[in-house]
Order: sequence, then structure tokens, then C-alpha cells
Amino acid sequence: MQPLARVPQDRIAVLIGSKGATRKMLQEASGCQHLNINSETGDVSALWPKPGEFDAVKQLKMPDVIKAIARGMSPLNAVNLLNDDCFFEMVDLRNFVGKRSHQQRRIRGRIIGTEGKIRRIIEQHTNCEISVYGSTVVIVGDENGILLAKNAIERLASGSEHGSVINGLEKDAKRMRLENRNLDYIETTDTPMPAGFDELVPGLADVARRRNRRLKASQVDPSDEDAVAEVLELEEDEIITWEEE
Amino acid sequence: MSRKAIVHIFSSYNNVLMTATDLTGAETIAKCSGGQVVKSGKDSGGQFAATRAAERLSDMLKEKEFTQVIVRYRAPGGNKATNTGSGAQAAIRAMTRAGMTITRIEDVTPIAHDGTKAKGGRRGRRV
Repeated sequence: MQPLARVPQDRIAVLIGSKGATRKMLQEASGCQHLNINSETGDVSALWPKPGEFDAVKQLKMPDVIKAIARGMSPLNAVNLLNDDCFFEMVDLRNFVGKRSHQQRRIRGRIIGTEGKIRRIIEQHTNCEISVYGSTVVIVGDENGILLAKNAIERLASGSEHGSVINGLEKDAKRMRLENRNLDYIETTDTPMPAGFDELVPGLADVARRRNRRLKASQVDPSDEDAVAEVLELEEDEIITWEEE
Repeated sequence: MSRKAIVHIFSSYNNVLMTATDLTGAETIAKCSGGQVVKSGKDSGGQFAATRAAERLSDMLKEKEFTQVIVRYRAPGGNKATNTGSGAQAAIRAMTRAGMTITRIEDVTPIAHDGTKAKGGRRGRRV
């Protein structure tokens, strides 16, 4: 049994799903044998099959998936975390405003914006999924996007103006796109480049050998007198004299 | 007879450090890091560096006939980031590709139960 995370009471229903559909989906996606959810304490643990029969990376990421669902992410978005290029980040708002609930509410409002406007803008620029729940913000997305989104959310939480945060985000996203486009360095192998054309073009050697054989078959061996005489005879036939013409 | 090792992975945003020890954790068998396998320092915490380092580490382990590993990974932890960088995941993926059997994975990130204040002032990091 591997303990995964503790889930708050109001997210347990989401984690299980109607008639256990979500739990089943999570079990199939991660390849774990049994996902044990204690609905009284909220403890979640997983039972894994024998080593070698499941993906170790999925075992590594399973706690993140449960944590994401526990902190307000929808299970369909959270299960994307099991992919290799998807990462998880959690920002705790208590580090910025302390534990007073009305202060946390103010920051939540700043991050979400009117009808989710600010959150939507951050999501679009960074290709992430963001979920604000209680005193935490959960970000799920690719490696570069997560850094940008985390930076933006931390700036909003520590009091930067919305306009400057979004401007900075746009600039950073653009720079990141440009950086990803150019190649930093190239991996070179130790094996030397093939010398001739023969190794570069597969099948070229075969064709060359066949052509040489045909050429050789059409040539006459000069030491064989019969063959030479025959060819000379044929040659005489080829010559057309003036009289014949 | 295959032997078992513990692979300790420390994965931060700036680097990945990997140390393979025996089961007591006291004797180092092999070690490798992200900075050893890439040219520029800013890449040494990335997925590519982690993959390369893990491949190199599993080669060293295989040479000494270790094929089973227990993975203990951690982030900086304490009052720093508790999320591992992308390195740990890439390293584990590369190790399974290289033919190591991973028997157990453990998160050993140090979690602060109250402690000192995090770096950076009240107004955050100023660049």
C-alpha cells in the first residue's frame, strides 16, 4: 500500500465519481490494482501490482493526480498529469497573506478576476489548467508554461497590478516561444560518417555489381581464340562496303 | 543473482543529483549529476540532462551487476520548493528504459513543520 494524499471531505465525492466511475478511470489510467479511499478520514492509498508490471513513472505521479483533484481540479484535467510532458505545481496563498480568511478571499478574487477573466488569460498564455481552491492554487501544464503561470500567480498574490502582470506574461510567453524555436546544441555520435556512396545509398552496391556482371558477360575473353574469331566474323558482317551499298 | 541498490535522486529546478548506494545507504556505488552531462549550466536541471545522467548511472550500476533499484527522490524541501523539477520523472523513465527494475519509489522531500522563514523579503525577490 502506498499512501498518496489526504482529500478534503467535499472532494471525496468527486474523487469517487458516480458509482465509482472516476475511481475506476484513475485505476485504469495509472495501472494500479486498487485505489483505496477512506471516506471518513479522506486518506487515499494505492495498491500496486508486482514491480515490473506497471509504469514506475505513473506511480511517481499518482500522488500529484490525487492532490490536484483534492485541490479543486476536475478529474479529467488531473489525469493528464500521468502523461510524461505534464507537470504539477501548487502555490500556497497562505505564504503571501497569512491565514486570515478574508485576506485569502481577496487574493482568490484577484487571481480569478471578474467571471474568471484573469485566470482565463493566464491559462491561454501558458497552456495550463489552473484551479483556485481554498488557500491553494493548483497549476497543471507543460514544463515552460508552469513556470510562467506560477510566476504570474505569485506576482498577483504579492500585490502586483493586473495590467503589469499580464503584460509581463505576454512578453515572457513570446520570448519562451522564440527560445524554444532555436536549437541550443547538437548531439554528435562517435561513429564516423560512412566513407563512400555505397554506404550512404542502400542497394547501390547491388546495382553496381549487377551492372558489372552484365558488362563482363558481353565482353569477349581475348585469350579464347574461338570467341575472338566469332566476334571478328560478326564485325565483318557489320561493315558495309561501297559496292554492297 | 541480481543485486539491489538505492538510487537517491535530488531534483531541483537547477540541477539533478543522483547517487546510488547499497541498501544501508552508507556506501556509495555510483554517482552522476545533470551538470556532468550537458554543456551549458542552465540546462543541467532539465529533462534532457536528467535522462543522460540516469543512463550513465544505470550503465555504471549494470557494470557492477546491480539490476534492481529502490528510488528515493526529493525536492529541495524545507522552506524551499517542495515540488520536484521535471528531472526526477525523466530520470526514472530513463532508468526503466535502460533495463533497471524499480521495486519501490519513495518521496523523501523534507517537509517543514514550521521552521525558519523562506529566503526573500516581504516584497519578494527583486530582479
